[in-house]
Amino acid sequence: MDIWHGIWLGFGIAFRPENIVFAAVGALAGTLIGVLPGIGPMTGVALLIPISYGLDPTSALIMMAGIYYGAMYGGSTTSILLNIPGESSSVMTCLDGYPLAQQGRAGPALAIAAIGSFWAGTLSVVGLMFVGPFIARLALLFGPAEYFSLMLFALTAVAGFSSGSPLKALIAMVFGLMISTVGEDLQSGTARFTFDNPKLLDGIEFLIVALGLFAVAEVIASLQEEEISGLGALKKIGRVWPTRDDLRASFGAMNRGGLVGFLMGALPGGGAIISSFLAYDLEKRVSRHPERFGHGAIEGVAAPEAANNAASIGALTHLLSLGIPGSGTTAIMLGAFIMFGLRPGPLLFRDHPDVVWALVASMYFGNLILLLLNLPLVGLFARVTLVPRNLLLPMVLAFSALGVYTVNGNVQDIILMALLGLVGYYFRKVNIPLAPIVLSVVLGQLMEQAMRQAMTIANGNPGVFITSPISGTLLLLAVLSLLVPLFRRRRAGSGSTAA
Amino acid sequence: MNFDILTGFLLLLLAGFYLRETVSLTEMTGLATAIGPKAFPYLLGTSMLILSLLLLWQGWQERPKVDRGKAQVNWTRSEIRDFLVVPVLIILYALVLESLGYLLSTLFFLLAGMLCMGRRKWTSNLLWALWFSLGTYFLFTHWLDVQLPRGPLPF
Repeated sequence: MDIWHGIWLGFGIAFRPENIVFAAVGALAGTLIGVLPGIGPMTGVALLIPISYGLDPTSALIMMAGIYYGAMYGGSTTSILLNIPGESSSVMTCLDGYPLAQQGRAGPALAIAAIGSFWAGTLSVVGLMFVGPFIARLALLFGPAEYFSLMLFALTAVAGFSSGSPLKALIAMVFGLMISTVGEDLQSGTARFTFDNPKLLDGIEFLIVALGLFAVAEVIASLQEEEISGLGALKKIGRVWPTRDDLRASFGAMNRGGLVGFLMGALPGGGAIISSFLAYDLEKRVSRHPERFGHGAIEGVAAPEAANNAASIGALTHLLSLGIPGSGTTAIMLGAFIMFGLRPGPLLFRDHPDVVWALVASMYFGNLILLLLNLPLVGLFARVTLVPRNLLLPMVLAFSALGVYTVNGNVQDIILMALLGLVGYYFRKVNIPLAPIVLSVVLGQLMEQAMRQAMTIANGNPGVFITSPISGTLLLLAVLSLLVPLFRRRRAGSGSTAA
Repeated sequence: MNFDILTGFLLLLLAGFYLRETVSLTEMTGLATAIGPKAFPYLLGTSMLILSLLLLWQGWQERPKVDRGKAQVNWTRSEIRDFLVVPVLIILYALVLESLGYLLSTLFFLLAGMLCMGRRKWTSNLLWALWFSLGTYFLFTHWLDVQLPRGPLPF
């Protein structure tokens, strides 16, 4: 099927009234989650997975994608109004967004963030349409050995690019893979690490891990933070519509940010954080007045917001075409795909073009809905940041428990989630990143199967991973991605006394 | 206390336990696969063993910094309380969920949760808890067709 035919098919499905409603509901729910204090996008997507159980898979995925980019956008609202990044990818938005809010220009800053997200998001969807099928066709050449190496590279890239210690990221990765080995082995039927508990035979569902590590641990962590009082900020929104000058100043930044975001988002592990950082830096370099950055330059809001939204769609590109998630949130989406019996990757483009293209097409108007919702509702969303924590957090916990229970109707899963919450909080405290854990829980079984199939085909010769050119290159990249942070750190360390 | 050393030690125990369990797995013979169900876990257990030793070593190296309070991680008393209260509440909820039914246990869970987190607006708490329990119950049972435990209540 060629691309144009696919787009035509996709729009036909995506424009069904119910799917438009699901995209709108997803975008709205995602924005609310992004704005709510103490709930990040990963928790948000995981929390809302159970709601999509009864839905048709296409509609469910359309809604989930809406939640995903809605949450990305919602994070910017709190950055601008309260100087609190809702998630790490909107850290850069604080730099100029908050000064703008203090100058009484929060309204235009929020509007530019919305327009920038919309514009870059739309450009990236165009990119996804053309790049996705191409990658998918390339990936059809992959055998099990190549897939194993690709997954290993995806995991090590996330470990290597994570901001903290690569050692701790690797620990997180292996810990997640260990969780994935619990349950009945698919090839031999051997029960592994089940401790004679029949309920563990099916393995530990990724949703339990995601909600335990993120939702429960996040609740404990936000109980520790001081309650924010945003009442003062609410008065500062001012007029929402940006001036013609604002738009003119931001347009270039949106395009550049979108391009940087899409390219970085399509790299595993690159993701939204790095791309928003790079886009901000680039804007500062090309600006004729770099000194205004940090003091309320509107381009400083447009560029990182465009970049993080574009990156989230870039990340979806290889989730759809390779079946490899590059971030925690896309890992959770992959888990959801698998729950619906769909396996993202090259075969998805071939066997379920209706699902893929409907999802892609829905992103066009999903971004439009996001823009239409956000501009008039900015005041409402700002108010949501004021929901008291001690009212919200018990509900988050109850909803997480409900979500876990609906998977298998098993109360043991709720207990397991609570215990994983303890582990998650401890890991947060000692700076072991949580995203690689979820990533490896989702990829673990696929990785092991690929490894064993490759070994069987090669008659037990482990050399197959190196002698295949594609696989060998990917393994080399995997090793390099782990070495890069060491060099970076040494260079950074030579300047200061701390090594 | 140096948390890298503690974490390294805990992970070392985990790796040891995991490897011991791997060794005791019974492998079926005669299958036409090159490597069986033990190989991947062996790889993981060994990796974790090495990584935890590296973390221990790193924590050991940073001891002087800890003494000067640099790499110190503090646990405040209220933090330990929250760290224990949240999971205990969830586990209690799990234990009563099937006998009390979804509506009642969620109602109690929310009230207890709000109270533990220091919210003492009784009427508002009760209304929010009722609204949330009923709302989610009907959303899941009627709209999403998911069965939830009914408990002693007639609906």
